[in-house]
Amino acid sequence: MKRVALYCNIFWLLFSVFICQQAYRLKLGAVTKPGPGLFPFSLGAVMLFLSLIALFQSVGRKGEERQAERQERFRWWNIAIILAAILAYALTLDKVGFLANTFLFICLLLKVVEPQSWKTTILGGAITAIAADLLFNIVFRAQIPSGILGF
Amino acid sequence: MDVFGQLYFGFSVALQPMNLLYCFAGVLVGTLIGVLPGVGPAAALSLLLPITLYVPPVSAIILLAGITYGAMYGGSTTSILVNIPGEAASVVTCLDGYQMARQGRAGPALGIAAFGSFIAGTITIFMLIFLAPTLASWALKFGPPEYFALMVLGLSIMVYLARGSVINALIMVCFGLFLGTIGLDTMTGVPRFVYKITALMDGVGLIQVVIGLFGVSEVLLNVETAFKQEIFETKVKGLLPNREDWKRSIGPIGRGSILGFFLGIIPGMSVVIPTFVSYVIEKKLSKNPEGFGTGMIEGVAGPESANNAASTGTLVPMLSLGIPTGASTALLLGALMMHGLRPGPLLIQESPDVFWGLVASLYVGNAMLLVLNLPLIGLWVKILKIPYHFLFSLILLLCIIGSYITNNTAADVIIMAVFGLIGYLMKKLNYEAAPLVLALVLGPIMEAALRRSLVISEGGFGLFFTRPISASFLITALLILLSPLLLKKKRLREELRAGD
Repeated sequence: MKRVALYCNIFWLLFSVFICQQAYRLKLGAVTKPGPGLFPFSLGAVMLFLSLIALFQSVGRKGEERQAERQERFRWWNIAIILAAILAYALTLDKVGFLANTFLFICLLLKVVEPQSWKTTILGGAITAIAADLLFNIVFRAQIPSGILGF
Repeated sequence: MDVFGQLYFGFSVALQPMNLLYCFAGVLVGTLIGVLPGVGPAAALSLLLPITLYVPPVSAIILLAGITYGAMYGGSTTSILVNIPGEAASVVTCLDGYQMARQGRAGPALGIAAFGSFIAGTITIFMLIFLAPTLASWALKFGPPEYFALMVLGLSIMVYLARGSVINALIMVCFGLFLGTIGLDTMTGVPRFVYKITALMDGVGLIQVVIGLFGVSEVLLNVETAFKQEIFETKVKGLLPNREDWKRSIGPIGRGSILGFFLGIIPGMSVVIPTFVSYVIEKKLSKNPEGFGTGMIEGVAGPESANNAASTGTLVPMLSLGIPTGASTALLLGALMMHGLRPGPLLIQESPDVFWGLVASLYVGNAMLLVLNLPLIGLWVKILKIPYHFLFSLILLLCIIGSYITNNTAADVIIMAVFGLIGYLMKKLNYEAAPLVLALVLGPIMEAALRRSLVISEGGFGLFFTRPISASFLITALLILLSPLLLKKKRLREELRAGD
């Protein structure tokens, strides 16, 4: 845990240096006529100060006892699948369309993240896709693309 | 027009059939959100915010406000019946509410929670009516330095009340303020931190950030381990509390209402802290303090009234000063801005239909919740039995749609996914999202106020300390931020003395 906090604070330290450097390039202006970089530069400076304090705190802190053995398996792949599925949904929405994309998205989640039977998966995907299309595209007229399939 | 005349006008707005429908939808969705663990009102508000772009501003704000106080009712139902707090504000209700249910008194517990919430809602709406316009007329004297100082104070209180490390909360505030600077600079038109990404030209969207931080991250956290769903059955008989129950509850309801309202006004208090404070006070005042935790009706009546009162209290600074007190009110403020309204002291004068319509709808919504919720208790318990794999798929789909339909661009969905991952890591590493969201909303206003103040003062920071209101705000903020350090030092000295 101590090591994680240390890495975290190093990240914030580097991030604040990055903000300061980028804000400086935007021009700080004068105090009488503040430029677009003044506020973000000040934020970066405050963040740098805070992350330095946090860094010293995490270095000085005694190592905490190791946490008890994790009782349940950490299913990191579920997180990766969900994030990848959201990205795929976003990138293919214009081409594949709302209805088909939603059907595939729900089927993927139901089959892979918490595996269900094929019947439940397909039925769940179809009902959700049709209901979502009716609600958002017909009732709310949200104009979500219909894609190559035309619906 | 006097206050009651304006309130009458508010009722004429809130009772229009369309607004009644939106109010009903809001409280219904709110109750549903309150019932379901893992979906908070902030996530629900962010999911529904894009949909409200298609409805008039009054209806939108009525719907969204309905969700916040509807969630308070829903949370109590599951706390009492199945010992699962759907909402953080209902955690305390589990202590005595569930014990009452186990003793076969689920009905009176649910009844007093609903009646207490209704009474608290009624009392605090009148407090809101008198306090918000007074505060707004006082705030008309504010210039840019006062506004800047007020926002610094609001963020400082939020940081002070954050769980865990103050430094981490301050880092979150800075990160939120930084996110607020992304996009075209409103004063010079210079793009900042955009890196030729078109989607960032208008800045990082509040909706995408909040949906990611509250909605997606919660799902990611839940799917990393096998999700267990255990539901216990409790029979509900006779919802009306008896005369003895009323006698014991009326004091806690009154105290909870006043306490909840005033604590709700303070930024960062949210609706959770008032419930704990109310419980502790009731326990202290009780002739039988050791009975708390074994099914005392006072332990349900006080906190349940406090959380409903606090949700009305949070609206005071948002409506009168344009300063949100937490993530939910930040989203309500965002909704007002999206509809082209100017939240702040002039809102009541410029858009009386929105202000008075909202106030009246709070009362109408509370009445709807009282009439609707008690007969629907069976339905809410059934909803808890929906398997989580269906629920999380639906939540994710709503997150995607909510992010997409704001601007109809896929880039917004990607931004949401990025913030989903950030939110997940924040939860794992004990960083709080609420200070970040508040800072993101206040950031652009705060920067503009700071820059205008510097122009007015011709470059002197002394202006912030020569004007009494801004000086008092800044000094209070400084004291609040330094207080943990001072208290720590004092405690250390006492420990050393004790050691000697």
